[in-house]
Amino acid sequence: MTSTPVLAPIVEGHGEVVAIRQLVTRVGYELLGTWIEVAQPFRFDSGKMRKPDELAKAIRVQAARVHGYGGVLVLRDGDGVACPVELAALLAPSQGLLPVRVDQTHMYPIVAASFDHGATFPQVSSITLPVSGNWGDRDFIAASRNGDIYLTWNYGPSAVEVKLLCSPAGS
Amino acid sequence: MLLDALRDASERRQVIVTSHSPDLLDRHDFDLSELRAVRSVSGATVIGELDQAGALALREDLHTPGELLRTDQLLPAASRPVEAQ
Repeated sequence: MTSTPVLAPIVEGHGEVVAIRQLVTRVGYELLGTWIEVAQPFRFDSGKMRKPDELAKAIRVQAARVHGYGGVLVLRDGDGVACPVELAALLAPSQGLLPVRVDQTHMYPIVAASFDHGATFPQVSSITLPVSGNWGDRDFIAASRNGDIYLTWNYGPSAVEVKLLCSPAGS
Repeated sequence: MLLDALRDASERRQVIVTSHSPDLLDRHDFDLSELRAVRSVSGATVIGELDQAGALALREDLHTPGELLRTDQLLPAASRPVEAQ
């Protein structure tokens, strides 16, 4: 197990396969002050990306590449949805698929919005979980059609509503 | 059909096939022991059994080896390059 966070991306464009390493590295350095290792990206076409069963399989595969801290990151077009909260709900996979966290300190949802194609993230907010110990959070980066990039975490509203299907020691 | 012929031949002798064709690998009946992944890492050749994610995909029947190859997920577990003799 490594202490370096590992992010395993799922993307839907050829350009994103290359760009995701730059984006994640920059987000990690500028927002979290840490190095993030990026696993081999899993590229989907846009059709498969919107099929929940296909996305779930890809998440399962990519989750196997995350050892210790990290998670699976899904980078996809926002389909015109501009609100980060709506995007998070749109992108959330089936319940219980993959509880993840990004590093050792951020156990709460973070929403970061970029309006200049990821050059800066001027709007960053953290939301303290209503229930201590609730770690049903999941992280997502999404890009809308106009190029806005959103970094979001969604989470279970209550710890008792989070159904853990994977072993806490890893899947 | 080609794969069936290769498997039939392997009953009598050792058969080693290298291919870039995902179509040849589009079956769900591959055993992990039948596959090795090859990749160029920093200019060096790495050959090995499938990495943990690829092995999981086959064990759980999530993807065929061909589908993994198409999505550039057929990766070797070994991290050390093969040294020339």
